[in-house]
Amino acid sequence: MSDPLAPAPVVAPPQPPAPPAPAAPPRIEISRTTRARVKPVGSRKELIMWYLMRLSGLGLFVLALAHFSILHFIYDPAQQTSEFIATQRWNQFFWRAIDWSLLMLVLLHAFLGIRTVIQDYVRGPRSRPIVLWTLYLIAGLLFVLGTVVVLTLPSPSGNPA
Amino acid sequence: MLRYLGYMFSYRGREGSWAWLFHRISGIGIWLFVVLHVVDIYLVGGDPKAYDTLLQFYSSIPGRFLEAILGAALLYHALNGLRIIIIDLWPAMTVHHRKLWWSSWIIFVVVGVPGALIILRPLWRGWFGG
Repeated sequence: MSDPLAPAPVVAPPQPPAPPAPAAPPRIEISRTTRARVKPVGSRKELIMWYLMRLSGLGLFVLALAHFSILHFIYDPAQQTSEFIATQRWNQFFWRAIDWSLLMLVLLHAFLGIRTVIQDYVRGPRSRPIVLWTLYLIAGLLFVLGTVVVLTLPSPSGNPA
Repeated sequence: MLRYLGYMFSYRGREGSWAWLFHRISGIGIWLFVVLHVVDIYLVGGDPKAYDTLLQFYSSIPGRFLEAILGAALLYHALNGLRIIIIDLWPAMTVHHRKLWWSSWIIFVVVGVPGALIILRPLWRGWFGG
């Protein structure tokens, strides 16, 4: 029962629309349902990395699984002596090029992945750039070392080494 | 460090949470192997004898178990990665993410068990009088 003497409820006057919020820093969100990483908004760089992660992942789905199947199911590890690699597997330009592409793709994918892991766990404003730059250094070294390894192994049919 | 580990293993989101945790562990494991693999292939040119010694370990029984674990990590990471890509590029599939996760395990077993048997063949080849 309402009291006829009670004052009428105060109705809030319509509020003017809130001013637009200042641009938020780029955020990397995780879906609560699937734990997938939500497509980043607000940073073109992060968006490109997000797409690169998925594109390299698709490439690796084919290249890495093919590499593993060929060298672990078709060939047995016991056969793959240094002679086998030098005179057969990497004596063919095709397989050397395929293996190099796989290596570059896996290094890129791993670099982006470890970068994400660091962003998840290293939160200190001073420690994060140090750890990230250490990663950039290691990743750069691995790209160079991997390429040198693929290029310098003498090939009996090609290099007169 | 311990706090981080506790955080990683804390139970939060059923299948999605486990999918994420396994994806992360397998990813880091595969990366460590790739680094080792760059070094061992470097030895093919740098020190072929050392490489052949390492290969003897790779093709031993303990080495083959590690090889099977590497294959399992790779296969899981590949299948779950595909699931992530499907959900990301086709958000309506998020509703079915659990079904996708269990389907990926079915493929994992169907492909992985024969694969493991091939890798571990020196273990069982003698069993059938071969």
